[in-house]
Amino acid sequence: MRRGEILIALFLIVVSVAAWISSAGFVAETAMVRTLSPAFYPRLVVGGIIFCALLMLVRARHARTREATVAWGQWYKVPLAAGAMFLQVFSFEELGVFPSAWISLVLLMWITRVRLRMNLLISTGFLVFVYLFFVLLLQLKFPTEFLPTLLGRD
Amino acid sequence: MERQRKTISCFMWLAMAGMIFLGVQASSVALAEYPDRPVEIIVKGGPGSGISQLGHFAAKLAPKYLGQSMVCLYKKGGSGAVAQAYIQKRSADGYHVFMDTTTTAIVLARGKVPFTEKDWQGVIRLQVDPQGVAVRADSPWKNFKDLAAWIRKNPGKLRWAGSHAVGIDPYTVALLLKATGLDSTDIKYVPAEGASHMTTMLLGKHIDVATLNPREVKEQEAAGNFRVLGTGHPERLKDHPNWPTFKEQGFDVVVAIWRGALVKAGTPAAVVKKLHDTFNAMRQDPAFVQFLKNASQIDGYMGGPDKFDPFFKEQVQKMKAYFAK
Amino acid sequence: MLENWILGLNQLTQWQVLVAIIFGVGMGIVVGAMPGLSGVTGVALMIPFTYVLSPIVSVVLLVSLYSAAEYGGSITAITINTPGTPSAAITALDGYPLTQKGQTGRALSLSITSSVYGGLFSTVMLIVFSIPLAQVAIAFGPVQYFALGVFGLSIIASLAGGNWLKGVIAALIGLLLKTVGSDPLTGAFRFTFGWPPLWDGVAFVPTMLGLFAITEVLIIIESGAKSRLIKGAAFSTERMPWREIRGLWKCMLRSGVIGTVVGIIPGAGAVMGSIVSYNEARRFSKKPEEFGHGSLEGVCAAETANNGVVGGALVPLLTLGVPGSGSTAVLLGALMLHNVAPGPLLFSKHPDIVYGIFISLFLANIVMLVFGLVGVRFWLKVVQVSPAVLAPLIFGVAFIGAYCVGGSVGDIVVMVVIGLMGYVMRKFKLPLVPVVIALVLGEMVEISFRRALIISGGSFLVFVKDPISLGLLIVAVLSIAYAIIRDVRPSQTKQAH
Repeated sequence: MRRGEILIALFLIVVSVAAWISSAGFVAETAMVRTLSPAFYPRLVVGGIIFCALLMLVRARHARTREATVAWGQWYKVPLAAGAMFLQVFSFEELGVFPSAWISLVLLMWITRVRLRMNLLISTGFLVFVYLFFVLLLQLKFPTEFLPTLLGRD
Repeated sequence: MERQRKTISCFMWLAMAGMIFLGVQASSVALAEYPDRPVEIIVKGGPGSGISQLGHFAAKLAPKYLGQSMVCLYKKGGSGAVAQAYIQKRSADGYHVFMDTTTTAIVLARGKVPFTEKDWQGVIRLQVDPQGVAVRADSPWKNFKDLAAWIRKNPGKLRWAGSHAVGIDPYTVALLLKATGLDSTDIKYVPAEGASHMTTMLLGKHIDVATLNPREVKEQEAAGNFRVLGTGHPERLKDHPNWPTFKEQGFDVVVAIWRGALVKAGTPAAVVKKLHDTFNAMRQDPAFVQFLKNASQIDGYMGGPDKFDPFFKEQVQKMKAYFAK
Repeated sequence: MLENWILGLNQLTQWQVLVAIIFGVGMGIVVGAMPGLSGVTGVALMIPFTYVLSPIVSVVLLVSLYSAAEYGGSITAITINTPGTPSAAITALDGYPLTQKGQTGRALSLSITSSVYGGLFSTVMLIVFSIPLAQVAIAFGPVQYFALGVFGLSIIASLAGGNWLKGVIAALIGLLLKTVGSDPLTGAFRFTFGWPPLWDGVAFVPTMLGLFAITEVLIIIESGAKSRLIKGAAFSTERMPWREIRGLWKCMLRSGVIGTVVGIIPGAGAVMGSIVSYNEARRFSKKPEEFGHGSLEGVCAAETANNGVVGGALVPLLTLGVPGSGSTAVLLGALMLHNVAPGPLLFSKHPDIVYGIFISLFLANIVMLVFGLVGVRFWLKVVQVSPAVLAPLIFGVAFIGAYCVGGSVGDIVVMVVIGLMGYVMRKFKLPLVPVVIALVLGEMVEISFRRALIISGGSFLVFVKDPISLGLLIVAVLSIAYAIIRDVRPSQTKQAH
């Protein structure tokens, strides 16, 4: 019994069945092309996943050796980090890319336990680099306005 | 040590305040005359795409005539749906110009976006790129009439490629077939990934006919590899007088890709006019004329917004009818 | 012929051309090393800068940038397990384990030497054989692409070794991801959940960033940001001595040929070149068990091949006017802006440009060697940066990289979500490289198959009638069968060792 593999196999089967069901809603938009149904190939792939997941289930159940269970380390930090990432993703258009990136960087380095002073220094230094390289040198455009919707300028 | 810490934290706050200050300043309210801040040109392609080249070029050249700087922004995704949503979310003040192509008309006609053609106001048409049909030079068809006759004799045999399954190319093929009294079942329509893909397939004899624009076919034609059977321009092209049009061969098909500027509907008429005048002046700039020439594009100016806007809306209607079938 | 070379050499007397080469190579390495910015984005971003330059200077700049970017990707692949370019994902397979053993210096010096060798080799091939080799490009139609795609996927089974089931599952996940978006042949929306950013499919760059950069960040954070060295390994700044590099000449020669030939086939690209050459290197290696655990041959094969692709991809562009890769497609657009339209007549109409490209490719590779060897010192410092600091910064760069390609928030959302998926996959020991291979080949397999059937009118015989397709399919079937047999009878293979 390998619990990790059983878990992932079951998860894959659930997702695959959902994908199979949703593939019933694929509608061809043109009569110009005569080809296989758009759902044919995704179903082939999904079928393959289900087959392989079942095979994995069977193997995991009959496995004689108990593989070392997945080491999770400080797993609780992962959702925190993901949160910090999503914070930037959903805030940078409103806060401007620099303040929002700064906040996320500081948060991420707080999660990785960088000392606060270093943390603030590196975050700011990094943004200076981003400005020099991406904005000045490569002339890329980023949203830089602060609260554009709130301040009525969109 | 303590002092050092203080200096650094002081520096941090200053930096933070600076960033916010610049941001607020960029977005502070002022109701001066248009344009009092940089105008955004939004393109739906990523860096390097044809439309982004036009967008960047316009952003470089047009400020001279606008009296205000312009930036070209990428809003990629969903065949322009992301770009459309980006502009429609903002106010109709002319600071967000959609530089786009026929694709917008198609996307609107397909009804996949929560907008209609009424949400847009056409400003100016800058380029037209006539659709054309090309074959290998060693194939038996000398003109489009030959090809039509051959299809009639051998229904379901001809391998005819165009870009994508839904778009201007299949639309063109459908129009041509209709004009010849044929049906889409009389050929094998092969959706390709783009012009280069079609060129390779045609050279390698994997297909018989390709739907290509002048820019995409002229080098192969000049080298004697391809033959142009017809173009969707009303008259023969100035740079290629030996290419016949569909019209002169008796098929009433005039179809082209256009590129031009749109803004959100409801933008004040004075602002639309200002934008139109800007781009119109830019269009006559020698640098822009050269840009068009290098890209083998035809100047697509058709008059002010009062001409282009109805043209755009009519095209969407036509496409809607086509997709409804 | 000779006068064309003189014409080409003449171009180099302009100081701007030399500056363009040096600047292009420098930019290329940085852009390539930056996760999210690959050769294609780098070239595209430079186009607006070339408006004011003369055609030859622009072309030289862009070509130098393109070839250096393919090398640059390997730097971050080796040092922080975050491939800067897609094809460097294959380099990371062995390059990062070398870093974990403390042998970054060896991996980096090997990667620059192999890259330069691959670049020079393919340039020679481009110059000598471009006209006959162009035939390879047009020989590939839908039928052959399908077979090529299947052949590429079959490598996954042999790469995954004993754990082929997990490799296959990972590949299937990649194939399923690739079906997201509007179906190219019918326009049907598949798995788009009504969200416009997914209409054109999951974009490749954000997906790569998610799978590697974000996943790596999460893994570092979860591990408590400890040192990345394997227990007991000591960090060494030692480079790889020249005589050891010379010992790999067979691997280099083979990978150079594979890279060039794969590069010629439009749409196959650097990832395909690297995979095929990596697989062949393992097949011919005396120590195949080292692959995936820090094999120098693995790094050499992947890096030689992805730079070999550069010369190969220029073959169809210069002879037929058809781009062989994403970067050359952008290059084509840039050339057109300067009124130099690549096509069958390019050699006769613009010999100065063509021979200028040839000579600048040689020079660019030499400049790259200098920059690369000097740079090793700097990159060795990057490796020593504490993971606690590195991880947040990787995210910062990945964010910018994902955003600047399309300016779309959707792309960044895709990146983070795929990153979480990659994290879970790595926790359950599902390999990530098969996902990349499947993403690259998924459309080739599905769409080419259906396209071939449209052309054949529904007959499956086309796939066995064509010699290229038949050959590739037979090799694919054999290698899958071999992998399964090896897995089913593990005891016998063990005895053989």
